[in-house]
Amino acid sequence: MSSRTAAFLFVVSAAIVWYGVIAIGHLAPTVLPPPHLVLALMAQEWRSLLWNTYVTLTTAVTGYFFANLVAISLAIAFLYFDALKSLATPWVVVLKNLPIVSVASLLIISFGDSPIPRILVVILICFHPLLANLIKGFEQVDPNLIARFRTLHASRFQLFRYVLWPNALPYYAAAHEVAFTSSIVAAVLAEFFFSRQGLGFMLIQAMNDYRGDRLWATNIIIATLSAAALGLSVLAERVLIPWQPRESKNLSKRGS
Amino acid sequence: MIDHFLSTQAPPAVNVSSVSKSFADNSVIDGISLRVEKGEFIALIGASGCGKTTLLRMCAGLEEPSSGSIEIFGRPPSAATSAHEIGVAFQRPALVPSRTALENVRLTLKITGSNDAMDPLALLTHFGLAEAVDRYPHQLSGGMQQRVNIACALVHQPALLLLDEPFGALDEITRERLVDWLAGILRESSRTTLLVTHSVEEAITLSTRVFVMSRRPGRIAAEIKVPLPTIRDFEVRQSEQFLGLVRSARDALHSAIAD
Repeated sequence: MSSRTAAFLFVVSAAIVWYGVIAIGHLAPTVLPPPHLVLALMAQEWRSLLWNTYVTLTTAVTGYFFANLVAISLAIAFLYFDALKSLATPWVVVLKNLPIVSVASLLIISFGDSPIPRILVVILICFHPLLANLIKGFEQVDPNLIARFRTLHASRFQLFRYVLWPNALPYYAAAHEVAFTSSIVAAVLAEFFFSRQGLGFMLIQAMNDYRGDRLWATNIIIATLSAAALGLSVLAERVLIPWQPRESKNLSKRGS
Repeated sequence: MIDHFLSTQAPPAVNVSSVSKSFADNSVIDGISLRVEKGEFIALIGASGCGKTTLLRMCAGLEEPSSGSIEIFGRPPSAATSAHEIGVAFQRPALVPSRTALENVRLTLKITGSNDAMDPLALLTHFGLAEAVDRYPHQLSGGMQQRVNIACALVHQPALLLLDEPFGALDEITRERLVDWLAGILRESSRTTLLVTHSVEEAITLSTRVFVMSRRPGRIAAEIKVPLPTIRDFEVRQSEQFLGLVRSARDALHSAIAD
């Protein structure tokens, strides 16, 4: 079955299950609003939904940009300065394992009413998979290839440009599939804590108002954004890394 | 005039003098000396782990001898690599996975800065890879990858070619064909070649001299001259002389391992 057919069947069966649950449980629209009411609300409030989506996306993409900047800089710095890697490792481990939910509150206190704490939350959540995969990509270079380049008297820059960086690219691309999706979730999470706009803010408001339809509409948008982030990552990987063997990739996906 | 000629006599292509090598407390090579003149094709045979690959890597400047010295054209290996005088091909093809066959060969030229050396496309075509030049390494068969790998080792016209079991990972048929092919390619030049192999036939088919190494820690156990005609076609390889050389190399190898 093609993935397109599967996606179509998913949408159809989700709607069937949705209506089915309402019918079987005799649920009131305030408890679980049926899909058509949610769609109606989306049509009605599209302006505010679009604006808040834009706000959340801006936070996510800005944070994600800086997460990449941090990850790439650190990975390259670690590659050439062993001492720095040893020094930074405890920091990275602690930052990675921090309970972001509680740290987010600290950031809000420290940075106040500005986009900075929300962007920092996105960076904290997203940088680690990117960094870890880049480091792995640099480490998993064929030692024979490095040896051959050394016998050609290649400079460190040539070795990086022609061997190390292309080798790390597929690992880096695989990290995007995880990290880019998390950037959306991270931005929403950050908005939970303190914000006057954004999808996270909408969720809090709708929850407090017992507006199931608005809550569902917002959730559908968040899920769609995450799926779009994943799709974009996969597409970018295919276009930018044409040398990646497809067959073996499918195998590894089947395995996981 | 004659004095001048004598004093500028070319140094040997490879001069290994009493080289030993150990990794931690593990002695891999124990006092090897050998001298390779320009234009010779030398095969090093020995059991697995006898240090033949280590010797080759030291010639390529990838390892330092623990004692003794190695000179390539009268200079330390590092000077030879910075002058781009060395080409290497390992058992597993060392190709850049993100570049096609042709781009890989071109990259070697770019790094060595010897753009006038050889035309990469002509070289690959000559290697029977005309249709495969735009394929990525993972789209090539093992034999094709190794041919590209050897093209990368040759394209900048190095004076010394170091081959580390280049056919070791291939199946019997592909290997035989590639040995014939390599013999043809190298016959056309007067390049000095050092080949590490564990195949006696391969050594006798290709080389002008064979060094047999003992078990670890490696020493030179025997040296066999191969006075066969340059072109060693099927007929030559069925001759008594060829088979006799294979036999004596095999005997030398067995007694070297038994010691």
